[in-house]
Amino acid sequence: MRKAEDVLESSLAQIVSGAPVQLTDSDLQPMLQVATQLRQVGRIAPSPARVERIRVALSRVPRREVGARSATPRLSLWRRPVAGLAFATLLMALGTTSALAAPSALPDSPLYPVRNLREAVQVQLAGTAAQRATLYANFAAQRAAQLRGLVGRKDVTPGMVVTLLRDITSRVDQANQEAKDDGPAARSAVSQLEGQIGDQLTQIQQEGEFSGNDGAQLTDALRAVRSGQSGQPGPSNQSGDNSKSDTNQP
Amino acid sequence: MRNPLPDENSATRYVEWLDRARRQDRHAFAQLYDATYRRVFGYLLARVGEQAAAEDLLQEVYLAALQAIERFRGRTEGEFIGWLLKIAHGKVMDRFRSHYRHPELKTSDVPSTGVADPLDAIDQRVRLDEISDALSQLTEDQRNVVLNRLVLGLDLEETSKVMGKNVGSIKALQHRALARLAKILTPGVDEHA
Repeated sequence: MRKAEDVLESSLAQIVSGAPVQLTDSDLQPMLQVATQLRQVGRIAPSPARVERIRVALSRVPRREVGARSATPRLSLWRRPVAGLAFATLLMALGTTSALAAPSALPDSPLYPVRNLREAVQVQLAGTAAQRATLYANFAAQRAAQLRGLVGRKDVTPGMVVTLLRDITSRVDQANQEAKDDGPAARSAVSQLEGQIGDQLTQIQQEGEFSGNDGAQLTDALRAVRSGQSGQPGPSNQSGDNSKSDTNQP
Repeated sequence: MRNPLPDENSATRYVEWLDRARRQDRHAFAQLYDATYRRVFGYLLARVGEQAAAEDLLQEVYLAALQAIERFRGRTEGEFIGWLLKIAHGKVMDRFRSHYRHPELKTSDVPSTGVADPLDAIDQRVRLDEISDALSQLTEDQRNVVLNRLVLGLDLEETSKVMGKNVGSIKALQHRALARLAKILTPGVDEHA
């Protein structure tokens, strides 16, 4: 003979799935009645107007109340001097000349990872989202200007184009991410830099002779920059921490 | 009926929404809200017994979740719902502690679910206030088992997983919980029948 618990479970499974319940045990009837009422509670929805009001309330919570940060892990205040010191030590270890050359190093240079690392540290040390947004946009603008110069001199390899365009796109994404919800000033500063980057890339598109992957990547980068300018999200980088991956580039 | 078990696409969607929501992507958080608010609301309604109060708490739960999402480390639908329900439980307790309730809710206030129930023949109108009072008289395990099974619609195995108890214990718990609820809500019923 089946235990009462098993009989009850069988009926509950039917109630949960919405199937008709076959009552065989009248002792269970009050329990099933309660179970049915509880199931009905689970099916009651909040009013559509209230659902919408909550959605609006959620969208209006100021970012600072959320303690918002981007996915890139930020350093706490006491760690920033430590990171700065570590970076300074790294620069000394690499030699002053190398360190000074690093800011303009190209992807075919062994100092390009140093450039990426230097930028990552600068971002980590930035105090506000607006500063981080401007830094990212500046890094992208510097690369766009370099790429245009290289293309103008026809001194560019496909690998360099791919790396520079990828890094431009990722930094534009990061800039937009940081500038989002951070007030019109940050948004406007980033948008202005995106305008310059867009102009550079358009010139490259017109002057260069890119085809295949390079051409497609150039179009993607341009689209990302233009969509950032118009306030629409560009193709986002889901990995979140571009600087970190960049340091591993050859 | 909603299937509480996420399929592969749903699991991928949750990972993506959660990742983006942690980066303060409001659109992603809105997606999470849309995907979960009904279940959270069902839980709140069963606990407080009043539509308006449950709606107030629903807003409080999601505002609290938005403020804490950065610290949430889960990656699945189940983990996210479990986290929301913990927040919801805290909000309900706060409300009980501040004695903010409206026990005089009338059954006529209960909105229509719009869902045809096969048990309508034996069912009575939902008595929200009485149900929430009765739930308050259960042990925590008993209350959780009926909320998981009947309000959230989880099956036996899922409930077992969520509560960290074996299936046999869940069956025994739900039997005791429903017997006690039936005794409280239906005069003349013997809990030990």
